Amino acid sequence: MTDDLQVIEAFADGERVDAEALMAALADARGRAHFVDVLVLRELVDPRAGVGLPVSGRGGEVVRSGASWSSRFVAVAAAAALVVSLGAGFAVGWGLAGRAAAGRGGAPASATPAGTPLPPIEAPAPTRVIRFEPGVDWTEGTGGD
Amino acid sequence: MSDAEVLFHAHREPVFRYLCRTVGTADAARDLTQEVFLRVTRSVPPDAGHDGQRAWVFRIARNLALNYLRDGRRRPAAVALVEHAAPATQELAAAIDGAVASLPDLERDVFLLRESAGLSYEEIGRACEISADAVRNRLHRARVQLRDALGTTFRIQRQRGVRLARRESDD
Repeated sequence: MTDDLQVIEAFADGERVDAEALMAALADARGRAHFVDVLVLRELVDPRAGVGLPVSGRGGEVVRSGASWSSRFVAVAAAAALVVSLGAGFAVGWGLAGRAAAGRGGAPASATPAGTPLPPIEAPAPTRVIRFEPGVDWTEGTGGD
Repeated sequence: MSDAEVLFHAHREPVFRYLCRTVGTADAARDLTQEVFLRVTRSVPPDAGHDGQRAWVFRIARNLALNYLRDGRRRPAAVALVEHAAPATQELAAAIDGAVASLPDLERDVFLLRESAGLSYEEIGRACEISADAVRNRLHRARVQLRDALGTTFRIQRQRGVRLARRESDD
């Protein structure tokens, strides 16, 4: 039986085999099952699903990683989103800094990236009011009293 | 284009795939692939036609892989080809790599030279310095052992269906 199975394997491997021997081998249910097993094993060990070889030299610098186009697109989109969010964060921070400077009465050379004047920012309302009373000595003394 | 360049362009990918499965890590396989073609460049290819030259390249690759494994007393790791795979695929790939790594050296090499590199029985025989009949026997043993070792994984794959794969030499 092993010989029959080897004939089937050789056929599956693209080797030239005796047609009569192949017919006899495939006439047996075990032979047919083994033929399927060889193909299943081939699918499992499919090497083309793995990582690739960075190619250097004439003919093109290609890195074939085996990653799908969709995963590459996701990676590029994620990188683009990161760049956009960093840029937006920088622009917002730049604008807030300009507004704060304007609120302090300063005139930074570039209050806004576009140089447009910003409305004054009102100071927040006091949460506690301390009344000044005449005659009270406000200077700090030594000794903690 | 020199003979070495022709061989490099024709065989770099199958050599790399074979080495990946054999040594167990993609990084080591890349280094060894470079070493293979460095040796090809420094040597005079045998005047043995396309198949003979391919077998010669793979004999160099096999010897380098065996030295690599022996020098470091390494066993092929089950993480080689799963680095960039999805989690479900990682488990499957680890099972396959583990089963392949458990094969005796010659069975493993014969099997990988056929399935990963696409060599014919005659080319495998030249690369491993054994007869074509011995290739047939070793290949059969390797397949039976792998089928038994993979067990459930094998049955699941069988339920998914099969197809006749192309041979590398058909490309």
